[in-house]
Amino acid sequence: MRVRRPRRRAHPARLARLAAIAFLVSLLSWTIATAARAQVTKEPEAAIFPDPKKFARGLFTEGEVGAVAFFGPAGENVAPGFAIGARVGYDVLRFLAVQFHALGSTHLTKAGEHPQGDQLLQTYQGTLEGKLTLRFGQLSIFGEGGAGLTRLSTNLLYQLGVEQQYRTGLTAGGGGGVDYHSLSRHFSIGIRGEYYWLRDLHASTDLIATTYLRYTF
Amino acid sequence: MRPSAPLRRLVWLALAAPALACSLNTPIYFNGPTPLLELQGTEMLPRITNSVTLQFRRPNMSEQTALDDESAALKMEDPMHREVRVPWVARDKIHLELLFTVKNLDTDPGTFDVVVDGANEYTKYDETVAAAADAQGKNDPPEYLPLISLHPQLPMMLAPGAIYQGVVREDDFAEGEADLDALGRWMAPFESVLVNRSDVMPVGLDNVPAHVVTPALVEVDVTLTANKHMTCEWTLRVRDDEDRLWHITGDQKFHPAPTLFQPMPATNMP
Repeated sequence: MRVRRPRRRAHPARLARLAAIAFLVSLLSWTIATAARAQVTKEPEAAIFPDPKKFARGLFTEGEVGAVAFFGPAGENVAPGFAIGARVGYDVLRFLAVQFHALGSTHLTKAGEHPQGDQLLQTYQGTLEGKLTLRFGQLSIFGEGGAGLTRLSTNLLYQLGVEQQYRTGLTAGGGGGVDYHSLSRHFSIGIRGEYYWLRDLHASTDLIATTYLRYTF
Repeated sequence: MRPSAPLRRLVWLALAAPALACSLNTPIYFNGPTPLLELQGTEMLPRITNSVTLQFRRPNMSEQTALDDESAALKMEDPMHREVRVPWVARDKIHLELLFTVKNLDTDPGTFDVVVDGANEYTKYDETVAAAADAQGKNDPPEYLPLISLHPQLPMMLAPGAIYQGVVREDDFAEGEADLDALGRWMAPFESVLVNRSDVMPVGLDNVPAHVVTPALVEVDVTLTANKHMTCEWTLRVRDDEDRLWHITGDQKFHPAPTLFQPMPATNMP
């Protein structure tokens, strides 16, 4: 005789547990599926190297060494000489800076048959300059110009008839150069050339060629 | 990022260096008067002289007080308590050097010499006056003893059209200034003092106080002698350590009144 077992009826609490598990599994699978879809469909952005935005900008100083040569009446009486200088400036914009430039150079005089030859003479130039920069990654080129004062250490050029006013005079001019960033955020090096007009040395001119190290704070 | 302290010091040093340099090695040059010294070589006495007198400012109150105090200290130190004035234009504050060019304009070679006399704030030395005084009572031609010379390097022969450029250095001036002070203030025998270098043979300097402050020249007289047609152009280089040269219009000028040195006439020994 067959005995029919009574059919087990589903307990409501058990049903609720099963439903919760099913929901979690579906949620998990949806999350994983979403992540996988993102990895596949969107490629990572290419790293910009070097990134000029990471270079320091703002207050900066420069130290420079090089040479100064005179042309015109002063050039006939003063030999080219060694120069050392410094700049302090501020990057107003990425491409625009203002700077103060101080440069000292030492020379020997050329006086031909006159007794004032072979005397040491120092020149000091202080100028306020503006600077425009065009950057190409690690390299940049720049142009700059300004005006200021020139002072001579002695009255020798006055005695030789070159200097119109005693030892101090006006100067104005400009130049340009190339800057190479070291990628260490603060430091860069470069070379520059500048040509300045010296009003009180009978409108002589001087060419300044230097190499520099720049530190941006 | 804030820069480190050593880096900041380095930056300040770099900025201060040009300003510091402005105060170093700043000689002032004074050209000799024009026209240049020129001799034809045919003169009876082929000698010609021109001069530059340097102008100094007067010491201010504190500087004068310091000079007086130093003078008093030297007087106290001196065994005979003599007046040992400290000069305003002192040799250790004013350093002179003479640069000159001699050119032979003749068609024949000739001999030339360039010598320097001058005055400090107490005494003036003129070799012509000294030679004339020394020659009194003698039948010999006058013997010129310059205060500063480049002997034995000069006199020398100069070829036609040739140029000689020479320097009477600061140490030559220092020697001449010591000699002039010894003659003027301390009664040194002038021939012995002028002929001998004091650092080699300090003859006749016995009366000079031990720590005397030697006066510098305030007037420089350059004499050219030549037996052919020659010119001499010269420039005086002055290093003024303590800004004593007069150059500001408002400053009062220092007006020394040096006494002309005249040697005692030679006495005939029995």
